[in-house]
Amino acid sequence: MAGNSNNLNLAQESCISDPDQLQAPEARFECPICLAWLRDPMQTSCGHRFCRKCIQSWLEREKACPVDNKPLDKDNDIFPDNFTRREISQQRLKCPNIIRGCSEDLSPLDVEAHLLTCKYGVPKLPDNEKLRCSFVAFGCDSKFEDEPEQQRHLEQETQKHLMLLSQAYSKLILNNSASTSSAAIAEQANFWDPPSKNDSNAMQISSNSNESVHNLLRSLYEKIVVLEQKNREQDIIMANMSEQIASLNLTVSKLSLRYCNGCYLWSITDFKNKINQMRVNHQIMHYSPGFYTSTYGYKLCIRFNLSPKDPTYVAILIHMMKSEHDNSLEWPFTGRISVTIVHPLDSFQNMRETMMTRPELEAFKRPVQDLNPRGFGYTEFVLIEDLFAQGFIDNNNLVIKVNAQPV
Amino acid sequence: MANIAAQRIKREFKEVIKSEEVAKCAIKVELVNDNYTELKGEIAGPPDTPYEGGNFILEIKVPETYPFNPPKVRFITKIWHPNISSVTGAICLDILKDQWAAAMTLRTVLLSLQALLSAAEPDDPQDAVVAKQFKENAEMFHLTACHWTNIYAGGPSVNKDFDDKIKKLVEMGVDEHEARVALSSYNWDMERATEQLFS
Repeated sequence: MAGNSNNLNLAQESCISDPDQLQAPEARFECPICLAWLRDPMQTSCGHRFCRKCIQSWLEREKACPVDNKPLDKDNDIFPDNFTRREISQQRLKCPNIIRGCSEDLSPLDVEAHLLTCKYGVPKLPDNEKLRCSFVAFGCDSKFEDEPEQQRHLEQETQKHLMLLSQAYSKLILNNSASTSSAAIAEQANFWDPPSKNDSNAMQISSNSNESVHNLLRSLYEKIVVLEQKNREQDIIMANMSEQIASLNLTVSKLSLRYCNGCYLWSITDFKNKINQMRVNHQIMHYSPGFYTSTYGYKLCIRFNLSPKDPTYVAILIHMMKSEHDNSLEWPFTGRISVTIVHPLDSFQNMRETMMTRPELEAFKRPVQDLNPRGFGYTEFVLIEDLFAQGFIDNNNLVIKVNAQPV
Repeated sequence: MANIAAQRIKREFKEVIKSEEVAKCAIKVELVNDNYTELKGEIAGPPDTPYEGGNFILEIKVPETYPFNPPKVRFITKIWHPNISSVTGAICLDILKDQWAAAMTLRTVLLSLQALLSAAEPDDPQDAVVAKQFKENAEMFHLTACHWTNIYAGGPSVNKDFDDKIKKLVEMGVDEHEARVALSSYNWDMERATEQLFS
């Protein structure tokens, strides 16, 4: 039965959907109620024909003719119309399946029954025979029994179809660019290792190049962030290190002063400029850093200025300085101090003077200030012009060597 | 839906589509759903009436007992007519009620409605206000029906005086349609319409 009812459905559907198959009866053979061929025709007293079932159903509700509204009594005013019945049964219709080869000639009333069993009927084939949406290429899977249904779908789903179209379009563009450079992208993607916090899989080029480009951009962005951060860290480390280096340099130079064993080479830089300034202002004096006669020995420094008596001479003097170990030393300082102006090229030309300390002088007593204001040395050591003339000034530097040895 | 109703609507549908009225654009039927229970009708306003030039949309609901019972029809397009409710679009027409006959079809129903637009029955009104105006002030009824046809059905005749009055009320914060109903009901007397709207 199930198969039969299915067939019935098929036959009716094919009958309705194919206009050629719907053979409308002539008006005189048509029931005004069901609009089909008169089946078991009845005539009313007012002269209208109906199917028996149709007019009986109507007269159960109303007492008038459906066509002209004349009063009708269901028991007395309707009669079988056997003339019409015979005429209809003599009508011959071709089976609607004639186009597929059925050659049956049928009475109009038998057509429906025949269609149920007609072997030329078109089974309603599954999906592949159904009408497809014309946007099937863009991913619309809708299927239809007939064209009106398809038409309605096209009208109602415009939004969806537009979306499918735009998706297909953007995919097309991406594929286009990806097909030319996907190898390069893949290579680059491997090259730029994603940051550790990123999922490494995210960088793999998938078949969806849109995603991979997106992933590439994302990991590039993350990489940049990480690099910037590292850069900043490095800057800070560099700054710290150069600070350390500077302080180490300071320590080293201090140590070199402490461990010079009383022999100190003082390089006066920018010598010409300093001389010129001193010539203008005789009060200007230059002091060397303090150096020690031994690790825990006396601390002293060199003073360099123009002679207050004759400013064409330079004066080189020694000053005692206060140090943290003065308590452990014997005062006044006693020893031998030699002062040398070093010739940059020829040591024979060095100008060297040696002097012995004189304990009665203030200059050698334990200093009460950082620097003992009294110095001891040569106020007219050498003529300025001799320094230049004899080639002591090398690269605008003058080097003075002092060797102080306690005895 | 009963098989006979669906079968008949399918056949009628073809009948209407092939009819010469459709060719003349006087009537039209469209399917609303797949099982033929609801359709959309359209009729052109008949010539020499206030409805000329307008297109009126109808809602048609087919009962399961069709054609033994009439289809349920109402106007979707707002219309000023004694036999049609200006509020709901409900139609007072005998063939849609007790005078229905199984031999009538969608085509005959639509043609009857068109005829109703040509020949109102003010003594069997659906909208008492309109019917009263129709009987007491025929000229005002004509102008109002023309105006409604212009606004809602795309009719050609523009009534600037009416439009201005509605605009004034809209500027006072009244809904446009409510303003139109009030003015139409009071023969476009601004004072009385305003009184009614703000009472």
